[in-house]
Amino acid sequence: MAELNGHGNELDDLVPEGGELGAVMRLPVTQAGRRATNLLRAPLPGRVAHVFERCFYLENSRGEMACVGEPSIGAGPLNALLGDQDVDVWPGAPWWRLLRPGHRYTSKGGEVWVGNGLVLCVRNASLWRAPHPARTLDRRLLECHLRGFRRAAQQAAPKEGLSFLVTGSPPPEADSLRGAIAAQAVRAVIPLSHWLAGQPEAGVSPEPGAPNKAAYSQPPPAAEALLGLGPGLTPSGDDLICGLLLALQALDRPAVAHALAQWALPLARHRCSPLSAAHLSAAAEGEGASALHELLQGLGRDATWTAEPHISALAGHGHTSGWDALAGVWLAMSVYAATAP
Amino acid sequence: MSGVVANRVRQGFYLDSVALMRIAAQVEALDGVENAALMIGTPANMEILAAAGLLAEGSREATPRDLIIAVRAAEEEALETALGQAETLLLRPRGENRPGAAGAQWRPKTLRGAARRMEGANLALISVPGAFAAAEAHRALREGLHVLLFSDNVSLEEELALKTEARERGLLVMGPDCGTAIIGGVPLAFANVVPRGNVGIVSASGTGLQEVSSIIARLGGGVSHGIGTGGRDLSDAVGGLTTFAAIDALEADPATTHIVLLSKPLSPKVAARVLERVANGTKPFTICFLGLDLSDLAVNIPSNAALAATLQEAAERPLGASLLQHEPPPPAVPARPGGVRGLFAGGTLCAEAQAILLKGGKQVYSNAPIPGARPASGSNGAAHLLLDLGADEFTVGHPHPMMEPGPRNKMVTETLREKDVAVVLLDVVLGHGAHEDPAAGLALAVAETAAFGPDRPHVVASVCGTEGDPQGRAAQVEKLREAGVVVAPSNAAAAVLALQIAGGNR
Repeated sequence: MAELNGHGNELDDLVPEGGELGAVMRLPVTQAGRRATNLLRAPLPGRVAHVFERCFYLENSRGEMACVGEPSIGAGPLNALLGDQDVDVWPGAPWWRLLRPGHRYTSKGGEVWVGNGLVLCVRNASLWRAPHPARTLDRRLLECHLRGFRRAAQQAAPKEGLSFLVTGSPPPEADSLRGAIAAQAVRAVIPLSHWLAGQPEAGVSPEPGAPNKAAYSQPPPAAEALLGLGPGLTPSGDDLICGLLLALQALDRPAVAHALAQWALPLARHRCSPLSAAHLSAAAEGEGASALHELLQGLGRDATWTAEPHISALAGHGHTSGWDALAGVWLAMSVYAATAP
Repeated sequence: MSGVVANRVRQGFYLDSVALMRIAAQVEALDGVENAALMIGTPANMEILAAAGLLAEGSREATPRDLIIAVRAAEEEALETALGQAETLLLRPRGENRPGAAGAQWRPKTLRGAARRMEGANLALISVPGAFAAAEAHRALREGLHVLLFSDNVSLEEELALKTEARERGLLVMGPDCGTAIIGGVPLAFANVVPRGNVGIVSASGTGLQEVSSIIARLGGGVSHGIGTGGRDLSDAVGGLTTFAAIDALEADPATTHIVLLSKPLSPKVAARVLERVANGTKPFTICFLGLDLSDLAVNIPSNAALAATLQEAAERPLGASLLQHEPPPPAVPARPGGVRGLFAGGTLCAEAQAILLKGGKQVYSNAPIPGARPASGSNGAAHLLLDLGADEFTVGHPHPMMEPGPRNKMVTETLREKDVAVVLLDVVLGHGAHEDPAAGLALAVAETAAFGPDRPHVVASVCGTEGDPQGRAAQVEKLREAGVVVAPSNAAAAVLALQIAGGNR
C-alpha cells in the first residue's frame, strides 16, 4: 500500500500560477467501492488530500478518504474509477494539472464539484464489493501454490520494500536505509508469525457473535514496529498488515483477523498517515485492492491457479506496495501451511 | 557517530517511496555527506532515523503527514549544501526524480496507459521474465496492439493461446523469443539499420532476418517490413499461425512487391501448408527453409516462388542482383588439414553453415544440429564442429554473445591452439542491441595468437550488418582484416570458404 493506490509524485510545481479551467469538465464515475461511494455521495465538504499521476485523493471533514482515478488503478474499497472513454483526458489534461492538495470539494445531488471546475458524476456508478473465495481451501494445493508463488516472485521482485520476505532472498545489508527498514521488519515479522501460529483455528471462534477475547491474544509488542515503517506515504509495513488482514479472512480465520485489526487500528491513528490508516481500516473490514482479492480467490483453492498474472497485477500498485501486501499474504499463508492440522 | 546532523521537516509533503530513496542516494553521494534519508514522520521511521544517528532534536514533533529530510555530514558546510540540494530535488518537476527521466514527463506504468499516451500506437514490445510475458501479451492484444514478444521461456501452450487470440483479433504476435523485427522502417530489438524498400520478410529466425535484410541493404535495396515469428511458429504445434498472418499482411501491403520467407529447420507438414498458401498468393516469393529439402515434399513449388539455398541467395533473388558483383570475394586461402570449428553468435547463421558443409559432403556435429548433422559430443577431434553459442547451455546466467562477445573471443584464442582445427569460422553480428564494437575484442584475440606460428588455423568470418548500423560495417571489417581474419561478404560465403580450406577432410 505504500502507494497501493498512489501512483506518482506531487504536482504543486506543475500547477500554473492562478490556473483556471476554461470550462467545467464532467467525468463520470463508473464504479466505486463502498467507502468511496459513501464519501462521494455524502453531503459533506472536504478537500483534495493528494494528487498523483493516475489518481487523486479526497478527504472529507470526518477524515474519510476516497481515491478517484483511471481504471488502471483497479477496483478497491476506497477507489472510484473513471470511465474508459475518459481516460484520454489523463496525462497532461488541464483538470489534472489544476488539481492540487488543499482544493475544496462539495458533494450534492449525485455530483462532486472539485477545485475550480471538475465535476465527478457519481449517479450511475456501480458498487464494487470484495468477492469471497468460492472454493474450499486445500492445504496441499496451497503448499504447491506457495512454491510456485516464490519461484515467480524471485523473477520479478523489486530491491526495495519487503518482497524479500516472499522470495526468501537475504534482506538488504543493514548499513543502508533499505537494510535498516528490512531489519526492523524482520524483527517484527518473526514474533508476529509466532503469534499467528499460536492462535486458535477457525471454528474455535464464537464469531459472528462477540469474539472470545480470552482465546485471541493481542499481537506481540514487537509487531508494532511494522506500523508506519517505510519512507513513503503508505509505508511498507502498513501494506504488509493490509495483506495479512485480507489473507486471514480468506483463510477463514476472521477472529484472528479481528484481533489483529483491534490491535492495529488504534495504533494506526498516531503511527500511520491518514491514507494508510484508511486502507488499514478497509482491510480490517475485509476489503482491499481487487487484485489481492483475485489472488486470494484461487490461491490454495483452484488447481489451475498460477502466481504470475496476480504478481503482474499487484506489481503495478506503486513501486513496492503490491509486493509489500503480497508479503502479508505470504506470511499468513505460509504460517497456515506449516501449522494447520 | 561522527559528524553533524540536521533535519528539515516539510509539513504535508509527500512523494512516492522510490523517489524519496533516490533523492536520499543522490544527497548521500555529495562530498562530505555521511548519511541521508527522506522519510515520512511516522514513529517507526523516526526509530530508524534515531538508530542511524540521523534524527535531530526537535524532529520528534513531526507527524505521519510530514516529510523528514535527515542528513549527517562531516561538517556544517557540507550539511547545509546537502539539505539545500535535497530541497531542490524535492521541488523538481514530477518525473525528474525517476530513473532516466529527462523532464516533467509522464511515464506510463501499464500497457493501457502507454497505449493511450501515444495516439495511434499499434504495437507493444514485451520484454519481461517469461513467466509474466504471456499475461502482458494478452493485455496488449486486448488493447488492440500487435505484439513483439522478446521474452523467452513462454510455454508452447501459452504461445498457441496468444497466437489464436491474435488471429481472432486480426493482430500479429511476433515471438515468443523474437529477437528481431523491422516494422515500418523501425528496427526493433536486435536489428540492423536498413532503408525502406519493397521487400517484405517473414522470418522464424532472428539472425536470418538480420543477414537477409543487411545484404538487401548492401545491394541497394530496402525492406518494407521484417516480421519475426518466433522460432517455434513453423512447428506442428503452432502451425505457422504468425507466418500465415504475416504473409496476409504483406500481401495486403501495397509497399511490398516481393516476400521472402525464412526459417531454420521446420515441420515438413507446415512447410507444405506454407507452400500451398504461397501458391494462392498474388506476389512473388523467395523461400529459404534452411535444412529442409523442399523437393521431398508432396507439394509442387509454386510458380510464383523461387527457392534459395542460402540467406545470401534469399537476399539476392528479390533484387535480381549478386553480392559478389557488389563486394569483392575473399582472397584465396590455402587448404589445411583439420576440421572446421564454427563459433557462432547467431543460431541461424550456425544452421546455414551446417547446411553448406552437409551439402559439401561433410560430417557435421553441432549443439544445435539441423537434419543430417549429429549432436556434438565431448570430443569431436578433427570433426567439423559448429557451435551455436547463443543456445541456452551457453547463455544461462551469461549475456548472449551478440551483446557480450568476451567469452567467445576467449574460445577463439583457445581453439586457435588446436592442431587438428583447419579453420575457425565466425559470425560478427552488428546492429541495434549488439555489442558496440564486437570486432575490436575479436581482432585482439586473433592478433594475440600470431605467436602460435604459421601453422595456426585460419580464421574466416562474416560481418552481418550495414554501414548505417551504430558500429559501421566497413570499420568492423577493417579491424578484423588488420588482425589477419579473412572476411567473407556473407555467412554463406564464409562457410563455403571454410569448406574449401578443410576440403580434404571428411
